[in-house]
Amino acid sequence: MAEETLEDPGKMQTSLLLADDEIARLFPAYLKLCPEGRICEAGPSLLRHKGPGLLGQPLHDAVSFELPANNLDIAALRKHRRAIILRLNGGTTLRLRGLVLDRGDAIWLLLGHIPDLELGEEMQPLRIADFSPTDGTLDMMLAAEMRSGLLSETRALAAALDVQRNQAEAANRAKSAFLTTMSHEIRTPMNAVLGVASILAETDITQEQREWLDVMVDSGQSLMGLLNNILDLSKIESGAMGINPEEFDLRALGRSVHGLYAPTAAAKGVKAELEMALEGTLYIGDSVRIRQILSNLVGNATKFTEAGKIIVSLHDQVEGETRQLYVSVKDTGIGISAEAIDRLFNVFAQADSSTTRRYGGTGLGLSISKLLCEQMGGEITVESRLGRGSTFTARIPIELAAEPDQPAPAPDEGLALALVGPRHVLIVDDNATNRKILSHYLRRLGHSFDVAVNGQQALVAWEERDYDVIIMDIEMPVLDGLEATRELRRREIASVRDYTPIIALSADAMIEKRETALSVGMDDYLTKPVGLREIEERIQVICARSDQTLRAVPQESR
Amino acid sequence: MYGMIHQALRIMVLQHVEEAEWETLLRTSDHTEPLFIGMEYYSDATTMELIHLVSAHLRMPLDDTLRQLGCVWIDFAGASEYGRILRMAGDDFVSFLESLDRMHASIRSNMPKAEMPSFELISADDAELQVRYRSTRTGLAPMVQGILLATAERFDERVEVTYLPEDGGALFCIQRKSLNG
Repeated sequence: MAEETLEDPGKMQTSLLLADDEIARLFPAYLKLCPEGRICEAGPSLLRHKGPGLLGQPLHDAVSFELPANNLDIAALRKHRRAIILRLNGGTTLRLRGLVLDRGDAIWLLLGHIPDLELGEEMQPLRIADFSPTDGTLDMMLAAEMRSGLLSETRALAAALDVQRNQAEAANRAKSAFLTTMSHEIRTPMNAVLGVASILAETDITQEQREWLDVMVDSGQSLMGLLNNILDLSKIESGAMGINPEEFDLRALGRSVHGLYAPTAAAKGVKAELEMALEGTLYIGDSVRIRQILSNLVGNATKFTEAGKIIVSLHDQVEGETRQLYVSVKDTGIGISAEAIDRLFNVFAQADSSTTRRYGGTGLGLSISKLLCEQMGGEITVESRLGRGSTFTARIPIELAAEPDQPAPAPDEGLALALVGPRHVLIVDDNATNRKILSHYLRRLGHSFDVAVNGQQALVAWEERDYDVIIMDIEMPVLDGLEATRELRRREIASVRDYTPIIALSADAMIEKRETALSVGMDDYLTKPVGLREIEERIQVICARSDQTLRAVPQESR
Repeated sequence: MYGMIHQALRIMVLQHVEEAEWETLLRTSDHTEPLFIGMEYYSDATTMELIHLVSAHLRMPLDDTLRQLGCVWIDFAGASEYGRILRMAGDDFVSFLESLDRMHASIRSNMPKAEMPSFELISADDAELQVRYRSTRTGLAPMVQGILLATAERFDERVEVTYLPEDGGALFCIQRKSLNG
């Protein structure tokens, strides 16, 4: 073909000649100019958009050139061999690009549309027929449309997923609220069950009855442990679980937890060792949560190890600008498969259901420990192989506290021991069983007491006589414990009466409830169920603290 | 086929039953994703299994199900995020049919996995149109019949559509009962 062209250029020119209707098909937006520069024909696309009024117009009235930037006269246009870009005048957005074809008797502008991909279809009503079959611009335009559609669809999908996620979260919150409510509801009767059991244990019963009673108490305490886990999880999920750093003795904490589980391990023939490589003794951190994590890890190791040993180790080191505590529990127990490790820390998941059947438990402990670690800025990792034991390591940011120059003063508990004595107590509780149990405890402890069934009765009793301490329920009819405390504190100040300590006793284990109770003027917060020993300890600590305050403040300044 | 077909099928099903039943059908077909993405490619087997399940569930013959899907498809596609592409095909029934192949060619250049059917306008006058439909798929002529009926209605034309099956497609005869309503 190329040789033929070289030999006979005229033949090639002939082969490129197109009939007018073929030009119209290939260039639906063409313009044909008469020799003097008027538009004598236009492609179907332009006629559709501009109407027949386009015909007969001088070119430069009908269009404005963008390329070349200056309008060319007709003679110059004939010789122009480069691309042209022009815009139709008269309120359209149509832009066209093409070439000039000089045919002597006429000038053809072979044009195609340049769609503005930002414009909507109202502003730019282009149709597929406006484009030449050979023009890839249409593909580009449809690609832009499809991309735009895909974006809209993606946004709609994201919105739909957002709605679904919100619904799922709402359902989860409802579940958590239900679990919390149920836990509270179960706590109250459990308080009675365990309280009565402890009272029965102190009566003259047979050995067989005592064994049955032990089963009952063990089961009750297991149930309370489960309830505590559910409440903890609920608190963490709702963001209500605060971290409360305070100074504490980390060595004592390690010994305490080890001491708690070592006998159980020993009973199975498993040796539990404690290794502590700590730089100090006193640290600042949330001792309650650290104890909870360590207890969970050691408890699991004890549960899942039938032979061999458990090594509990605590060490700390400075990494960068932060001191990290590493709590590690290594055992020679049943171990965990790689697949099971992946779901080990998921809420409500144990390694497999047979684990639950054989060893009991809910699988909540590790999830809670992981969430607690993360909340304190740390993490839990595990290394394990099935049948080869496991090593769980919790990393927790911690601070080293300044060591005291002399032995620290005895804590409240020490003070309590020094100041033991009979007290006069006001019991305020709307639940008859709770009143009965508490009355029994106080009687056994040698304290005297009065009873009120709501906050209003409590205020009347307090107006009539002084009490060393008031033990007050929170949720009560007529006047609840919080309002009663507020009013009592107001009257105390108004009447210049001695301060009466108030211990809240509630089934609500949520931390915010405790904070509310303390903020209205209560001195301590106990969660049901409480045992005799706990009641006595708190009464003496709170009363001793109050006695000390009274001694420290001169009578005239009160 | 692309997800838009499944989305249209869902709209069609919801004209007869509640969303929960559609979700049951999806589960029955082992389709675990609750949402189809319009421009995502799904295997023809998935699409046809769903259509067969819908047909059985609605107790509607397969051809009727396909025809109804074809009718719904045009309205659905026109109202979808991709509706402008359909509207670009033309402002009247004939130019729409003439532009279909060009539209499909452009779509295919952007979606290489797409297996687009071909529509060739054989003849056109005020009384009758003849369209040759070709496809690599079989059994979808009733759906095309629905598409043609809904498209004519879109341009305010009342038509009757019949077809003669051919190798690799069908020849459609469109009787124009009234132009522009």
